[in-house]
Amino acid sequence: MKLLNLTINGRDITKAVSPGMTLLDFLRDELNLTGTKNGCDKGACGCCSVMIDGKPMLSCLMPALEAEGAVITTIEGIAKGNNLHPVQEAMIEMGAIQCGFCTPAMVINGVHMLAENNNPGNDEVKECISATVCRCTGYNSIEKAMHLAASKMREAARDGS
Amino acid sequence: MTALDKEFDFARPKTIEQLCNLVRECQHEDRHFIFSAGATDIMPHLKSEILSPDIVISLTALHALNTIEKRGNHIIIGTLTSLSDLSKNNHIQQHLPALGGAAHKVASPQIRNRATIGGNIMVENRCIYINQSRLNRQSHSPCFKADGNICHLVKSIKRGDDILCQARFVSDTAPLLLLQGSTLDIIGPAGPREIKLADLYLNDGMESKSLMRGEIITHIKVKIPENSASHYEKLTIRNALDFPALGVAVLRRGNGDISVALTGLNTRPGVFHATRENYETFDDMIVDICQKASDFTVTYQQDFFPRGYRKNMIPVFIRRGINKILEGAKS
Ligand SMILES: Cc1cc2nc3c(=O)[nH]c(=O)nc-3n(C[C@H](O)[C@H](O)[C@H](O)COP(=O)(O)OP(=O)(O)OC[C@H]3O[C@@H](n4cnc5c(N)ncnc54)[C@H](O)[C@@H]3O)c2cc1C
Ligand code: SF4
Ligand code: FES
Ligand code: FES
Repeated sequence: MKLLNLTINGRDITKAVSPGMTLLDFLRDELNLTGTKNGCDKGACGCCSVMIDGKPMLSCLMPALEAEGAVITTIEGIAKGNNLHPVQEAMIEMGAIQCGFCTPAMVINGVHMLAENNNPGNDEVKECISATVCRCTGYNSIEKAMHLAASKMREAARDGS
Repeated sequence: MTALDKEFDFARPKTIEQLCNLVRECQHEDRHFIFSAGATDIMPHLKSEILSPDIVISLTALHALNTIEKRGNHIIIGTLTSLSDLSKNNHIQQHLPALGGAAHKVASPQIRNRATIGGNIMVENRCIYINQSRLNRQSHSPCFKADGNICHLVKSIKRGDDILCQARFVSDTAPLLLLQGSTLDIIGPAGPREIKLADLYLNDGMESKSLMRGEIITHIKVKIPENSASHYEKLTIRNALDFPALGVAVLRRGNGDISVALTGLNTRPGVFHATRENYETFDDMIVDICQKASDFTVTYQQDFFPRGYRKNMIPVFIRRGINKILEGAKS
């Protein structure tokens, strides 16, 4: 076992982990943050996406010990209290959630895309959601939700300025 | 439950000196070590127990290798640079845009945020028989690459043959780097050395790289292309997540010479050159280089695409690459 120090959803955490543990298992089994899903466990479905130092990455492909010193945001850290993020609101409003298994990853990737550019083109939205496999929706509603979230964020930026 | 059932140790040296000392220690104690950078290639191998090391040595704390610099007429790429940083880098966009484009075609956005260019040129060759879950692999006897005595892909291969394993080369960035004549800075317990990227690749799918045990690549040196343009085209079923069923890089020099590099087919990348003045017409040259590329290519049924289709697409992609380059030159 080795000591791991990192920040998850604003909380500093120190815990002993075995070198064979993935970040995904650390989040789900050690911290009970089960919003991050294990779809394929081999990098091929995107469902385990978390934000690491501001960028979405796959937690199933990362040894937990590689996250030493990292600042991580999981789906549990996206809403501010009871206030959902515009991407979360838009996913609900567009009916883009069916079984919900891919939703945390779709949200994490969408939040990152819109933080970089709140006026994404169609290709950018497609690329953003391309690497998370959704078995239910057929992606159209998710695409629409990302555009709706973008317009909500542009509106908020205008109102704020 | 941990996804990796086999226990191993993990170390993250902060300097090259610490790394070399650790490697020497492991060699002395006969501990089986592997290196990891972005770990997006080794993790699936660890999970399916194709790899079972005593210790994983992570290179990610060697922060000095996470840079891209322009020095004179070369771009020096630190091997720990992530593929997404590489694609967005100003030097790459200005001088090697096709390489940035090829890096952008690897896997998925989340993987490119973590995966490194060093890991990409070193990526392990792939085969539909070995790159499967443990459970799947238990359903057939171990092949040569898993220390067994059979090749399921090419049943005629026997121990004693020159090449035991036909697992195919899959790096998306190597073809363009090869066409640019890139060189590699290497460091290991025996000291530094420099090799051509072309000399990194070997013929056997199970021993496909020429690095000596304990050596790492620190930098990729690419000469800034003068008066030439290149393009990379990749055949996949989906736009994300798929390894290349075929990847074709084309480079056209100002004097009309053409070079082509292939990935996704054989155990090693193929590189071909054609000198314009040796041909009567431009089209003769293209026909000849397409023929050379097809002759080199051995495809087995290793992909969703039928093997004949992959082979037939080689000339299509070469011509498409040349057209894209010529269109770019006009605009
Ligand atoms: C779902 C999925 C899809 C993928 N699709 C593609 C694809 O389309 N195209 C593609 O090319 N790859 C693909 N890959 C493979 C892999 O993600 C990439 O090749 C990636 O660039 C590997 O980089 P890494 O840093 O993660 O490598 P790692 O996993 O860290 O290392 C890979 C190998 O390189 C060695 N290595 C790493 N850095 C160095 C160094 N500096 N010096 C010496 N040895 C080194 C390691 O020891 C290991 O053997 C895919 C992987 C997955 C899981
Ligand atoms: S090609 Fe290599 S990995 Fe594939 S079955 Fe044959 S020996 Fe095994
Ligand atoms: S669980 Fe990580 S990509 Fe599928
Ligand atoms: S909503 Fe079920 S997988 Fe996407």
